[in-house]
Amino acid sequence: MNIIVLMKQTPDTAQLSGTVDGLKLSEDGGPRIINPWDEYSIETAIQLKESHGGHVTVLCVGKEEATEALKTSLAMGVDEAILISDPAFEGSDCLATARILTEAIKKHGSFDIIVGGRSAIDGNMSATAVQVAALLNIPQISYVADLIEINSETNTIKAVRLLEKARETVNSTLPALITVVKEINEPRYPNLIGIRKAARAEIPVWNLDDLGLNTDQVGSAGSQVTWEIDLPPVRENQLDLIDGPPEEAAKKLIDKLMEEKVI
Amino acid sequence: MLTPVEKAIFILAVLTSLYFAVGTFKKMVAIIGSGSGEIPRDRMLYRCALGVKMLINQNNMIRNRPFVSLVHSLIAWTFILYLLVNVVDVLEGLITNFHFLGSGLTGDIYHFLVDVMSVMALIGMTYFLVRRFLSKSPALNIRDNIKLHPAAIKGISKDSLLVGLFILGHIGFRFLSASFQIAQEGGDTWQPFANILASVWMGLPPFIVLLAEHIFWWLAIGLILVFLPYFPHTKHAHLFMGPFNLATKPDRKSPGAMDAIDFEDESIEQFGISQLKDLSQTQLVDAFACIMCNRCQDACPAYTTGKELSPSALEINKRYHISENMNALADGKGDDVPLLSYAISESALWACTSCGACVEVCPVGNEPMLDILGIRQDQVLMNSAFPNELKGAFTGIERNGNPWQMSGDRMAWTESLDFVVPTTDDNPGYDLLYWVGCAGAYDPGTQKTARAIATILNTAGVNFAVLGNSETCTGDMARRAGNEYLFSEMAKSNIETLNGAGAQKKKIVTGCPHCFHTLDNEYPAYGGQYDVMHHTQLIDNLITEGKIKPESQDGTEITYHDPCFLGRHNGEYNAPRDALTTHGFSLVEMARNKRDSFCCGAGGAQVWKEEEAGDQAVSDHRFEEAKKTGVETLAVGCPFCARMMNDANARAGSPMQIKDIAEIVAESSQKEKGTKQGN
Amino acid sequence: MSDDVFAWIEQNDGELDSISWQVMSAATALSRDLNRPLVAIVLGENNDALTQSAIHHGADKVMNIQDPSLKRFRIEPYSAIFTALARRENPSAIIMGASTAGLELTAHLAAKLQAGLAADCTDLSVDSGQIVATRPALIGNLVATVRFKKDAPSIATIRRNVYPPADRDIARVGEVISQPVVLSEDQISTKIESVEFSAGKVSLTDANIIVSGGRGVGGPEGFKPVIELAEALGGALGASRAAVDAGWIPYPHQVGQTGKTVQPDLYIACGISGAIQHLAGMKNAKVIVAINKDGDVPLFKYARYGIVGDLFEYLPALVAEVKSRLAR
Repeated sequence: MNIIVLMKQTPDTAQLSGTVDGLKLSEDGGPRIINPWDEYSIETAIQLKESHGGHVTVLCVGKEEATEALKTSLAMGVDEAILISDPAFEGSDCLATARILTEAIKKHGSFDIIVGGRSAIDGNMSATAVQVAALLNIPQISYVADLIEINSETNTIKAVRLLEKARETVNSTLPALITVVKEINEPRYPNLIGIRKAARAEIPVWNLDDLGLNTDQVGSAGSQVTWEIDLPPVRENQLDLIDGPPEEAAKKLIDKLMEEKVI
Repeated sequence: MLTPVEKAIFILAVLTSLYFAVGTFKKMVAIIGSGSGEIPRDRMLYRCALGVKMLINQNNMIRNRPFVSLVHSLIAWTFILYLLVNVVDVLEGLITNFHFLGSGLTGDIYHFLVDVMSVMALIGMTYFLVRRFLSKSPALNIRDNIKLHPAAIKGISKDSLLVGLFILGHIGFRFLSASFQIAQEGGDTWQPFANILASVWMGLPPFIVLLAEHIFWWLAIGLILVFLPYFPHTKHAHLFMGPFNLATKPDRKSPGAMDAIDFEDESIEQFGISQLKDLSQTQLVDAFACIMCNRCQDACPAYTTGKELSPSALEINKRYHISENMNALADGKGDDVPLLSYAISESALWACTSCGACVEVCPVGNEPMLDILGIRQDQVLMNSAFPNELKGAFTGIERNGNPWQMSGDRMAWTESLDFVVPTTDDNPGYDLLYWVGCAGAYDPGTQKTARAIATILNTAGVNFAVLGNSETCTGDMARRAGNEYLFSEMAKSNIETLNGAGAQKKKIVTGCPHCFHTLDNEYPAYGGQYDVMHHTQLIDNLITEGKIKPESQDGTEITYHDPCFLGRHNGEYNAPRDALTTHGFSLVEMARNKRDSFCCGAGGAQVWKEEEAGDQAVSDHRFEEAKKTGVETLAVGCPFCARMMNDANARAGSPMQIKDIAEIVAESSQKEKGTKQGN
Repeated sequence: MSDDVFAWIEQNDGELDSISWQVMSAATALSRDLNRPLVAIVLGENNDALTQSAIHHGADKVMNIQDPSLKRFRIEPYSAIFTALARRENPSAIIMGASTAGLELTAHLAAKLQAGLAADCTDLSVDSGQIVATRPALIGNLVATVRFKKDAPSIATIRRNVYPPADRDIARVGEVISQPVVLSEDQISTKIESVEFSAGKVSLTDANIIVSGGRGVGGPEGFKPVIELAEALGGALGASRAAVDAGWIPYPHQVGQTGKTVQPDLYIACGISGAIQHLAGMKNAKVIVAINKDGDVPLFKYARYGIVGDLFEYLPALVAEVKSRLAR
């Protein structure tokens, strides 16, 4: 079975604190990790290989620093890790990134399944993997919480999707793309043998020319949106104690939570 | 006294016996030699003397199971004496008219000693057989839920019976032989007990008496010759393996100090212990030395609370596996069977709290705890197989520098203090580095302790500094959990930080015994040599030097729980107690204290995972013991002991107060000096 | 070239997602600012009542695609229909709710139409005839202002409960136009085999809202109000180790160092002291609310909002408030 994993390297949000805010964290040289959901994709792929045999390739669009994340994926046990990097890619929106990944996938060769994470913790668009499926014109199953069956001979796949109020069991055909949620498994901790092998590995880099793309298909030129990033309005990290009898306090709290847009 | 024919037969018998005995002995040597590393051979004279000393003083095992240990000591001393006695008997048999030490006073004393000790050994051995087979002492049982080699239970019984009967037989027949000998000589008041028997034989025809003397001589010596090749196959190999083990233990700075692995060495393919062949030579000697007495099991907090772990079973299983495969192993064929399949279950492996009680209590110097930690290394480093909950702690140490994955300011604990706690950048000329530890930095309960320590240092006018946000986890938890690689990374980076701040030329005080143990005993292997003390030691010193003057407590009763990593692992039992008693607390000891202290249950990475299945939480068990003292306050010296006791306290709904010694002393000192502690 | 504003009225199995009227509210504002008609798109098996309701909530026109193959949301048929409609009508904007379906459908569409996308927006406005979206990023630690290029529809999803539901005027009239499906059932590769409705069984690791109980709930029955609040908010149920150790709730609900690590948008901790073992598992939640009788517990230092009081008094009040505010 040929399995492709789409991976992104993101800032380590566990290091956000009073002294480290979002902008500082996203700066060059800030601490980076494999996007948390992509750890689950990698684990899904490795487990598929362990039960069905085959080959797992991780593709990552990023800067050179993403090599570290790719090495971690090798240490976990994937067979191949490729960095897709080019200065021209800078400023790509989800669609441009999906375009880049699609060309990389085509360049890599045939596949049975592509695995992505639900979303990336920095952009949180939940879009790129879905758009890859759209560009490749293959079926997709999103929010997969359990992969029940997969058969590369009959080209069938059955999975359980985790929706807001329901769990949906769906059948589809291969090749397909799935995006996974955290319930699906528990990503393994790389063992020392893996870490050693990964440390010695050479990560190939594919650039714009390798993919056969031109500059107006990628980067800001190839994007349909522009982003201006800023810090949210400053809030004091002080506790807001809500007083009053239950009904009053409840109303005040719900008001605030709706203002915060968390419910 | 033997006839020439007898002498000839005897020589033949000895040669045969020695042939088989030496054969077995050679196999044991080969198997031990197949282990990794090397048994230390330095200071041979010292080691031999040490072995002999421990043989004679029975390695202080009388501290546990006192009556049984006393009886064993008598039997053991008798056996030591019988080394001489057997040689003497053989010589007296082979050489006509040879009487050892003649018939003067020295000879009489010798005979008296032998007579009395023989009888005591016979009574003692009978008691042991009764204890094991009739009254079936529960201490000799291993619970059903422990992984135990199928041959072990019957095997241990069989060996015990056979050797028990052998001892009764050998000593008994020799005793009889002596009694018949005395009968021929008309009695000997210097052998009171044998004499009593002799008086019975006196009426028999002389040739019967002579015949009896020979028969019983042959039976006694014959038993030795038969059992000489048999001994090494049973747990009674401990007769020589025990002292050998004690004499050849590698020097360790602390019983819990683990050895470093060189990860740069590309030739190493196996990290940690997976199979028998990965054990070190001394760990293989452990298997042969084990007397299967279960003292370690009794002392083990995991076993006591119903977990699947028995350190005793671990050693027994190793031994039985070796016995089962003796020839193949001795031939160097090795085996591929993982220890986890026969020696210890997975749950047992992860139940260990690394408290060191098993190592402390073992009379023959076994270290089951180190086997367990070694197997954990294989599981983590080679297979990434460990309880899932530990992943969070590992990831936290890697990315956030602390196992709780916290990301805040490590100096936040200082905010409510009314004085400034300087960092080494603020105060490069410091004398004492206060290593706060992750608990002190992030755990709200321990932050109070950290403030107390800082307050005491400030009040005492100590010129100290902290590392602040450059301090990261010592890696203790990673090491005990088997993640040696992560530990080595943390050690190297912390040593760089410490040396960068000049700590190798100053003193260090830690707020946590785990940090203390790691920095003091384990960082040297990575090039970090520091003069480290635990905060209770420092506080004790400061009180003694009069630099802090806590108010007298007028005999208020208090109890103290020894942290395993300060007490057993580092021998510090007194400083924390003195810190309390010198200013008037009246110490009420728990039943198990100091060397025999019972773990709180947090060590061995336990506090970072769910407790293994058992009957009771280790912490609840220990807390019950604390409650029994009837005191209001339980003093602790470790943030993890504090956490475990606090949780147990809450579960028990008890009004007990749990406080760190630093907090207690700071409170007592604050009234004296009027310093605002501020929480 | 219609430049209309499209809004998806989302339903699944005949059950309307309440976000749809919030979408109409946002879309109405955009249609007014762009001065273009608002077209509601309804897909499903039985849409008559819903198409009328869409008009009552502000649609000028409704495109009605009715077919058994559309009974439950599947990306293939829905995307094919929207793609066809968009290519034909060339709307200036396509607005949906940031539900699991909406996020997936808008992303897919954006790829098919080579259009710009802004997901999970907290504000949509018009600036010089162009749509501008505001959305959080990096779990709310950053704010992104997204601008769309002009040559394709601006596709956006709005976050749940940010916009109020659109006003309803039963006197409104509008056009309902039937549209055909694009794919027949045979042409659709994904089949839904079964559906398990799981109210109250939200997965802890993936939940956006978690309500947890600790030692303070006092016993297994004490979890009832906690469970009610979790259900009312559509969130997952969590617990501290103390509650699990006491046997009041099973281990899979445990949040903390030795349980699950979660990163929800909202974490409501009831009767939990906030020992570091627990904090380690939830401190990265975007908004933490602490409800505890004891105002000194450590959790209050990490909480954004707190109530010092008896959870048995405050939780029922919260449940009532949530139900009245969020139910449609």
